[in-house]
Amino acid sequence: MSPVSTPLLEVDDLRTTFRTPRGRVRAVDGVSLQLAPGETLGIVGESGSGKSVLVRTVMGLIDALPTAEVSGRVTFDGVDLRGLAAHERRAFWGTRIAMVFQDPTTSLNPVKTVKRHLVEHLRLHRKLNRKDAVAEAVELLGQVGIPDPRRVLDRYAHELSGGQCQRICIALALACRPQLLIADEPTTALDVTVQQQILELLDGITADTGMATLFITHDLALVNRHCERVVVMYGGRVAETADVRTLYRGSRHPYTRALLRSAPRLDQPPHTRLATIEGRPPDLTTLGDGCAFAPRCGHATEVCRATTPALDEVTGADVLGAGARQVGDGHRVACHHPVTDDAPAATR
Amino acid sequence: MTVSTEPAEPAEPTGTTGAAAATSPAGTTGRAATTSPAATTGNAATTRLAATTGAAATTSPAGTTGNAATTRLAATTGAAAAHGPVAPTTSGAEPAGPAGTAGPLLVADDIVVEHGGRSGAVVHAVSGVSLHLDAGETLGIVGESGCGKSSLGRALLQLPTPTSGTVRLEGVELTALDRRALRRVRSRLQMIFQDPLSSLNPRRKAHELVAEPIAIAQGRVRPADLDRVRATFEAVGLDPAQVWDRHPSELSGGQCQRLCIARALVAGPAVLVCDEPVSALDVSVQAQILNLLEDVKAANGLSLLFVAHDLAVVRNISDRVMVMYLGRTCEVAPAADLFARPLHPYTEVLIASIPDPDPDHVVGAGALRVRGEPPSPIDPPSGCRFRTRCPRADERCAAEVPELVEHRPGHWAACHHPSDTPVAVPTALSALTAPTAPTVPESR
Repeated sequence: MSPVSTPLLEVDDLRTTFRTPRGRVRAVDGVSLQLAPGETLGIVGESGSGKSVLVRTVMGLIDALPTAEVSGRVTFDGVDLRGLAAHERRAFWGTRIAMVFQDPTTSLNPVKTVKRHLVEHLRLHRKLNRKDAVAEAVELLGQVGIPDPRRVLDRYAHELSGGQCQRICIALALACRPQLLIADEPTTALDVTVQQQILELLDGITADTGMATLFITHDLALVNRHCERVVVMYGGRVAETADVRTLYRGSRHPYTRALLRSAPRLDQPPHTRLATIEGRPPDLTTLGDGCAFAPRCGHATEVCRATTPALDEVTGADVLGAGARQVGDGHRVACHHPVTDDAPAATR
Repeated sequence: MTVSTEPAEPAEPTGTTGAAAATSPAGTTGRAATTSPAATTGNAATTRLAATTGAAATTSPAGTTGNAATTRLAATTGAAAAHGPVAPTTSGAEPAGPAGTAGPLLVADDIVVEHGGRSGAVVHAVSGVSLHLDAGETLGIVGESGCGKSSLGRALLQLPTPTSGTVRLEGVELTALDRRALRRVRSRLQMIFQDPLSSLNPRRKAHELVAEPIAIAQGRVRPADLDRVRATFEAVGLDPAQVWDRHPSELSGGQCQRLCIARALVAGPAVLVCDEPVSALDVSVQAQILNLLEDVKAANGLSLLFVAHDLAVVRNISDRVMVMYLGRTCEVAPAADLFARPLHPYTEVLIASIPDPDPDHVVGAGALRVRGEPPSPIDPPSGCRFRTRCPRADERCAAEVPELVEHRPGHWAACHHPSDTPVAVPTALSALTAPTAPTVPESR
């Protein structure tokens, strides 16, 4: 996969810790990942898994917080982002790296019109004059599928629906044709029919511009439809990473499997008993050595509670059936007892 | 009378009677005994309420499931004759329960909810929706935000009383009751909200929160009642020893939702209205709560009204599903039939919008797509409200409001151009669904 091309984004052993009254919270605990140009990487996890803190740290939004401690490297297009001064880093924001947040209505300034948002952005970053900026704003709104863009220009965020606000946030993010888009739960606040439209819009833009995307979500189904590779996070660490097909057909981590099985599915008859994951997500203040999923895992043994499993490559021999093998490389799992279909439940 | 048909009703689990006996407070019997003579005079709403209270009390000792309904019907013949509990009166009326059973547990007829906005604008949240809920049944209500599903759920509980329309629970007309009478009826009709943390008083302890319905019903909580609270904790999977004295902020979202369910159960309800009970929860916790709802429903013989936007969740838990769009009913059908053969284009669109977890499953080229977003409920479109986004809309859709028509047995749709093409169901989870490979222990 990516070894051929130089990665656009490389994250190496990133750790983010917050000092809180209840103790130190290890929100991100040694995460490494790579993203090639034009690639869409999904980051999946439940609340508290560290996925949002991870991308905010990558973006450089966390370092400035007085309670946060960050270590590790973030390399974007050959530049060490964490080595930059704040003002140097700002030069990347909005122009080369853009972000779309979960709640579109609160990420727009309520006292600015749509026009002011877009025009200010375009004049500042693309040095357009006012007239060109307005024309470009209309163009951008058209691209993100807003009917009658000229009328929408004079509106405020509260006059628009959630879907329209998110389209405007996407237009803002795309205004400078960034190389990397970070989308943090971009459709979670939207209705299903609108979600569909926004995802198709993002897919289209990715295909047209060759932009790379980090797509953060709690919904595995969304990732499987819109990403090439997935990183599954649990307790601030990467539990498993693979391309979507391998992950869907041959996941090896008990957590990934349980996540896939716990969502109700349309092909099950009504009143099907759902597979559940006992217990609840870990408390990051008390999380020590050992696998974070061990207390909820049916396969857990002494070693799981004592040592943190490394994120190891899944070796080819026992992976899967034929078709999946050529895409199966790059499949890594952090588990002392990775699940195989040959030995189901025998370890319990 | 309908009494003879009552025992034929198989839907009601036998567990009901035990639970009813356990939960019906001693105080109720006394009250019922003193007030039930009033029922024979057949007068106002309070009279009917008294009769219902009596029914609840008499059931417990009698120990047969059919008895409560029998008493209920006997006490409400007057009302039933006037309204007709089974036969739909208007063309838009919701389909009634199958023949041969007694009247449904909960009947809402032609509910209209309108909120007056500033500047005189009126929000048409619900515009003439009817539904019924049989004993032991789960009715799912789905739709996008602003479709009126939550307003409808709340209107049933008289939170607030709907602008017009009638709601009858166990034969008692709720819209006519005063606050005191309503308070007593609400023990039979409980609600679970979306955000468990904000629906619990942060200053109360877990056991106080669960005991609250008892305090409301009896005026105080006796030491004996605490045993009942403890049993309810256990019934919803909370360890009393662990959480008894905790405040909601010390509990996880899933635990808070269990607490909300416990609080609803302790009141001894017949119907549980669940408004998006799992949408604020993580996927792994969501499955636990859905399974728990199925468990408590079976153990207490409850009927569920399950309001949610997630179609996969609704399909899993519901016997029947009702699809709403902008304050009106689009389609009502048995869950499996609705998803396999939807008639209304909006239902098709909703089903097509659900992301399929299988990356290799290709979404059918013929799948319907819609443009734009729902119009404002302040100024809904004429005729069919979905017509502005509907790929099949024509002049007739703008001119005439489509009526809810029964196209197949139990399958009702309000559309001028219903489709009847079966929809391809997403592929199975192959290896992962194989029953031989449980990777994680199942809950209870």
